[in-house]
Amino acid sequence: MILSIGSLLGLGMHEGRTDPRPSWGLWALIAVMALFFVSMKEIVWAFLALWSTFAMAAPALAHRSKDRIVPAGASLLVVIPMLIFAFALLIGADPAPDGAWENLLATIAYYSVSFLTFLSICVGTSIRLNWALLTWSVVFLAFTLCATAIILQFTSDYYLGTTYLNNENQAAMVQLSWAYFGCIGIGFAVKRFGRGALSIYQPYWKKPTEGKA
Amino acid sequence: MKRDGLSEFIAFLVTIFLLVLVAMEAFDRGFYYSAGSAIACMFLAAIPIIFRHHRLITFPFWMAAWYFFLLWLHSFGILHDYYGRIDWFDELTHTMAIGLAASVIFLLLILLNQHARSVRLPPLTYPLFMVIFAMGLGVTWEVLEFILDVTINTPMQYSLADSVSDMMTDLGGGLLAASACLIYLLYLDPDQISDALQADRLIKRYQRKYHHGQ
Repeated sequence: MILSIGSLLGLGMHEGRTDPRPSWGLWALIAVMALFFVSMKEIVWAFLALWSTFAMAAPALAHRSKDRIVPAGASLLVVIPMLIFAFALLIGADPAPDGAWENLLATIAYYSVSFLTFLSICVGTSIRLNWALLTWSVVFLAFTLCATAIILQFTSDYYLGTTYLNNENQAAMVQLSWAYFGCIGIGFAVKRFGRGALSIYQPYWKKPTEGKA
Repeated sequence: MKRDGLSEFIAFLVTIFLLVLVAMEAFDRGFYYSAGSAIACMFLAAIPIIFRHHRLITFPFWMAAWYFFLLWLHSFGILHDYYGRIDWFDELTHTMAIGLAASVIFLLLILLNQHARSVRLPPLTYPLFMVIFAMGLGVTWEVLEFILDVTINTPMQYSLADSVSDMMTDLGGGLLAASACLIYLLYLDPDQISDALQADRLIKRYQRKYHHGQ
């Protein structure tokens, strides 16, 4: 399984160069899913899909070059949990909102969206990171995304009369705790076991040193 | 810098004195949670002094003074139930604490950018890192509060509105500090800031860990 994920990560990369076509295809898919989640009033997933759509397009927009986009393999990491959730919604298999499986899927999505965002920043700027800073930045951005999603749910409940959190502190804190411990766990696992597979993207965050001591 | 060290030490002693007063009053009134909190703050107040003494990092005086004031304000607020009685008190302490945390992160980012071979952070990316790391600390605090409330029944989280408001002020405090630090960078050279921090030992430790064998 790890091997197949590893080979998927290389999608859209040829000899260290990014082929932008599959990336833009996946960008369109994420944008469509964002619209789908909005129509289904799944606020957390709509937020994550909209965030990813913007994060992926930002470097291309900033540099006015369609080639400035994250590799398709990295986008796939975001697409997979979103597709699973969208499929579950379509077949009506969402029996317990905020249940364990949804929280687990959301935790994976927070982490992968966060990773995609950092990769996008690396593609769009001259930033250079080491593994430790990259790992912890991704984990902390995932916390921030989860906190923002909770703020959005609360605001929607307060102003629009929705019932995402039902005014229950426990509902929000369970979501936050899943994301917190889950993302730390994924961060450690990636640092320990995923470095080999993810090193395919290393040129994006470890650029030539340009004479820095 | 020596004068800063003396000012910091005097500010530390004044803070300890004020915290002792808070702890004594709390014991006198039988508020043991408040007393425990004041005693914990006394230990926490020593952090900048210890860091300076061991030449790990020397925080600017304004930052240390902000930290001491915050510790006293928090203890005093618990003793007099300002967190329950004054609507904006929690928001005030959260914004100040996260603003301070984001400022410390800003200094660490400057050190990292100046001394780590494998890291280059364009100044415009500082706000991003400041906000996400500050927000991450805020989230850590909320999760810790939730765990303590569930396990040992502490009264740390009042309601959903309180928790969400904490996270919103964390975000606001992080953004505020990020904007302030960008302005700070316009007037001060990162090299000067890095030198003033006197973080020789911290840098050596980092380089031993991450640059070993390069």
